[in-house]
Amino acid sequence: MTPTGTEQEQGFYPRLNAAGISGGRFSGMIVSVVGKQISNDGQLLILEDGDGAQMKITSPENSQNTQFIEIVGACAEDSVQHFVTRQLGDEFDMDTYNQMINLQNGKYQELFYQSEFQK
Amino acid sequence: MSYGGFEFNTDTNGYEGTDPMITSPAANSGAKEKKARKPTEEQFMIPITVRQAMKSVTSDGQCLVDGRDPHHVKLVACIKDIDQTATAISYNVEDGTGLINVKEWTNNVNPGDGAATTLAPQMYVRIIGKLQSFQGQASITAYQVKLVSSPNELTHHMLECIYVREMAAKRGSGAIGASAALMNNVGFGPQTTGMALDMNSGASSTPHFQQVQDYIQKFSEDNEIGIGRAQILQAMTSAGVSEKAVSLAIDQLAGDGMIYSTTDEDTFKYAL
Repeated sequence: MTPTGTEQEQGFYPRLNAAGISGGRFSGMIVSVVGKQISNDGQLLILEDGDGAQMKITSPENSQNTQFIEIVGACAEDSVQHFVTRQLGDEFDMDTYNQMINLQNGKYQELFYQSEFQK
Repeated sequence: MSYGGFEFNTDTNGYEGTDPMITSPAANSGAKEKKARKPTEEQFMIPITVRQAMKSVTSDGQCLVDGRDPHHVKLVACIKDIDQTATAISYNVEDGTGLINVKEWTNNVNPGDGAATTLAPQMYVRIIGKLQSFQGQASITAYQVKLVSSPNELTHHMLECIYVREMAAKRGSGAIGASAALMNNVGFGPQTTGMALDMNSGASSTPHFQQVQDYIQKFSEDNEIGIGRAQILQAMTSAGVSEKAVSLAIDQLAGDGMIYSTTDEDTFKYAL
């Protein structure tokens, strides 16, 4: 259950970058972040998003990953708690992905968002 | 890739938007009558998100996307789980917009294609199939479920969904061919390497685009099979339009679904 009291439908999770996480709007929700791995000490995984900003992932997996990964997890105030990792290879276009999620979370929410969470 | 409904990328094994008569094995054994094939101009495929699929279900059980019944849909999503039986493989897939069930009958899976045995949860796949509803719930009967050729296909697919939605809206408002305005509104930057975004040339913003469109539309009214590429080129070049501009305009029109191929891939008819 999210802070607003509305349950997120299965399979619905906003795609965010560092600015989206720190904005606070999605705190308490299941979200997805995609980024380039910068470091992973077993306790904290750092990803870099398309804007060059860093995102903190807590409780990460300790498995071999490709350079770019997607993490689905629970959004906190300034980090995401790891649930699932998806491999996105070593040649993922972060810039275009960043532009895409800005459109998803902005003008085109109708195509991507559960209606209760549209702004 | 074009959305005229008749051409598709060869990385999908030459899938060409025709109806391959996919039925379950049980239905095959008892079927005596075949469904009437949709008219050519109604056979089209559109990219959708799971959210669009879920919202497509109407009160009378139809599935309408942007007001139309898509012949086929394309979805890029991540496998959540797989359940394989003797007759079918059932996937639950999600793309961040929702979760949907996809069923692929095993008699449609090519035994030589290892995809059926190599797919696993947390893999992104490209699904092509038919959108259906049952008791108000949307699902997809897939003709093909394959690993994406590149992770960038996820981004590309999402952008395609936005693009097709905008084109449908423009078509509905009568502002046909105004893709220049669309590109400004959507705010795409310069085309990046590794991303084959098909909305880059601004061909639709040139005067020649409208000329070519008007020419094909005029001939489509009087000709059942439409008009050939050679004839379009001859007419347009004699009016001072370059061959390259004509070819670009034809490709753009086909990609937007404004024209479609009829007797062969170089004969076109206006869709609307």
